[in-house]
Amino acid sequence: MRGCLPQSLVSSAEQDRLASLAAELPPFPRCGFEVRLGQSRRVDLQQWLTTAEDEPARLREHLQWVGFHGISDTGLDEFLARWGDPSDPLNRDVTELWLELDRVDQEATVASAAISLFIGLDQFAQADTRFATSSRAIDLLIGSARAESRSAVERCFDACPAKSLVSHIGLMVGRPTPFVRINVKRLEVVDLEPYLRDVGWPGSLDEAVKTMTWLAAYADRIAVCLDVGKAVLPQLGFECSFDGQPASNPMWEALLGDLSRRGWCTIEKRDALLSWTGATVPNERTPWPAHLIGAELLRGHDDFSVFERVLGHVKVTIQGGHEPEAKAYFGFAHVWHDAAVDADGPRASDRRVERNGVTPHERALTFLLKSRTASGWWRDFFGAGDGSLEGGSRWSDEWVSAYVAVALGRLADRDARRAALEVWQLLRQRRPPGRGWGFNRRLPPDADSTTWAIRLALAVGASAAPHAEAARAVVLAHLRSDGGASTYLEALCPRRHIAELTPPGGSYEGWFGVSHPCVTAAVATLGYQEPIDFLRRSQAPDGSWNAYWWEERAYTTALAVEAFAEHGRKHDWPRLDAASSWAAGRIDDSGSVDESPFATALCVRVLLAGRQDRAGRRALSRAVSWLEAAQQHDGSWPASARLLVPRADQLSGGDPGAPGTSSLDDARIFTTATVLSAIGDERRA
Amino acid sequence: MSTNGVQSALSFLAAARQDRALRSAIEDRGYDVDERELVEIADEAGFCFTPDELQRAYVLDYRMRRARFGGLTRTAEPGSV
Repeated sequence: MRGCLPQSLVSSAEQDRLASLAAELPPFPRCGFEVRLGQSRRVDLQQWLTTAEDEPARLREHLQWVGFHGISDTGLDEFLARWGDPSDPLNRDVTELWLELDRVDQEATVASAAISLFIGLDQFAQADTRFATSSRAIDLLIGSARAESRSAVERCFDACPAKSLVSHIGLMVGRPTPFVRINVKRLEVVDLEPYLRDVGWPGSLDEAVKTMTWLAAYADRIAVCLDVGKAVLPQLGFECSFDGQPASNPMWEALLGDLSRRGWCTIEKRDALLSWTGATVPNERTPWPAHLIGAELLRGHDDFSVFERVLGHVKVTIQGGHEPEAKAYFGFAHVWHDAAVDADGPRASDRRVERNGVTPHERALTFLLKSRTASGWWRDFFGAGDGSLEGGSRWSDEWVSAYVAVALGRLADRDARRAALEVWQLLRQRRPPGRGWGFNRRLPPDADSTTWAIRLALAVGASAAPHAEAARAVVLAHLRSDGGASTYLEALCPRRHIAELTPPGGSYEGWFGVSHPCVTAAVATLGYQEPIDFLRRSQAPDGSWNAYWWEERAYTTALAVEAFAEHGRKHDWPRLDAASSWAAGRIDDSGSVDESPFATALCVRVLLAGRQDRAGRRALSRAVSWLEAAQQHDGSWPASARLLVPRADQLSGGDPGAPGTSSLDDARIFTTATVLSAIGDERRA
Repeated sequence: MSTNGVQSALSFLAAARQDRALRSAIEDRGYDVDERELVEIADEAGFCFTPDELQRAYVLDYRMRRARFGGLTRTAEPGSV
């Protein structure tokens, strides 16, 4: 890969040194570089490992073979042995390892390098398990040397607010370790000040909050990096990650440009980073690694060996009294491409650009932005009521707007994000804090609409706003003893006098007295354990989940797998695998699920949230191609989201033949937002 | 580098995808198989070429398969960086 490395990022002398180091590393075909974006020419080399393909044991053997000075007199050997042992909890609870070779002098050998380890903790594990894992790793690797940091490290774990977590710990082996690095993910800007105060960070809180606020305007995610000795040290880092690469996410360029203007990134390094991404395939100039040729011969004719070049993240570090420092992390990794999948239909990110150069994604976004009312709402499901609902409206605006805005809030597009923020402001103005939201303004609050509003608050960075905080209490009030969520509370349940919906016995228990899987799945995406446990117990043998308000089970299933992917445990993977198999099985040879864009898009989301086998990847590719072909001229997809309104005494739903009414999303907004969200996820993947 | 050597290496690549004994020999070498070992395996099966010729043949084989099976839509052109 040397031929690809720009000299402005890695000078010729550094390339020589790194090549010597790399030649001594085990042949794991992936590599990362840490570069300072200012004038410094220093570059550190990184290698990423998992437990796959026996990598811990291979690294162990390799370090012994090259004579790494730390292997015998530190716990690294034992750590690797235990991590590679499937019967050891470390094997389960440490998901990845980053090996960083820091330059200690010009002598380029692994044996003499300072090795830093960054240990990835299982994000599905409970916080106490993550702490126990990190303590064990620290004890194994540096033993009593860091006993004095234990209480400060523990404080960093304990102080994490809900939803945030310590994702990695970093330490140096083979040399005195000055501190332990703690990376905290999912901290929001509003959480930063109380968190830093709790852990006793000694720097300027104002400076930290300002820095994170500035970076949050660009980054999709920020991890906060603390250095912990006897106490937390003044240096504070912000790792900025992005959905997608620069070609699909302009925020990379925006942030690097801002860093350049501030003088923290040279123009040459900015430009080199932005042009780094791409793929390298076998060519005459550089020999292809023999073990990859061998591996390819053992695979199918239609599997292709490729090195993908990617940007990882940008990190900005502050330390009171010093100029902030910016670094970038980039690298390459070997991947297999399945030609059969690619030939079925290229990924959306590279798919044909058609109709005046506008992509399906952009056309869908344009349709949605044009579909708003003058005040900014989205309205859909015009046939869902009969106009007599307590003086009510036929259509939904609160629930539909929150749902659509969540889809738009996840996009990098500035107009999309602005529209999402405006909807949040409309929702805030519509009802006072603590009242939740409903189908529309005339209907009482329900757990589903309120959950989508909370998801919107999360998407626009307003989760700490009083409305959002109070809304969580509204949602929790709908949780039942089985962990599931009912749509309505008994006291606030609408009692409609509509022929199809009025129960002959006068019971409305079906709407408030039972858990509704589709609503529960949405609530579970907020990270509450009770609904997740409910979903664990209620998955159907075929891998799907039932719905109450929907004809389409894929609606519940997509939300359930997203909840498990985000908040589940490692042992939930079989549930996701079963859901993926179910979704892949529903996608027919043409790529559609019952010719319904809504159902097809939801199955795409199920597949994207899980692990895809070859059949899953092929089904996914067919489905995305079908969706793009099914898009209408105006950018929308045909209405296919069928909402059921079971008669109020019906304790189970999802059956269009049961008593009640149903309605399609006549305005096509709900279906289009669902498809946009699915193809957006596919682009990010 | 001889044309015959490259041709022989191409034949080896095609045979190794079909022949159980060749596949087994490659598999036995594990993750760390190097060019010299691949050439040795081929030599024992009657294919004669150098490591350079193997590399040349591999690039050709890659391109031919790509032309036949399509795909790789996410990647740049062969050899591009």
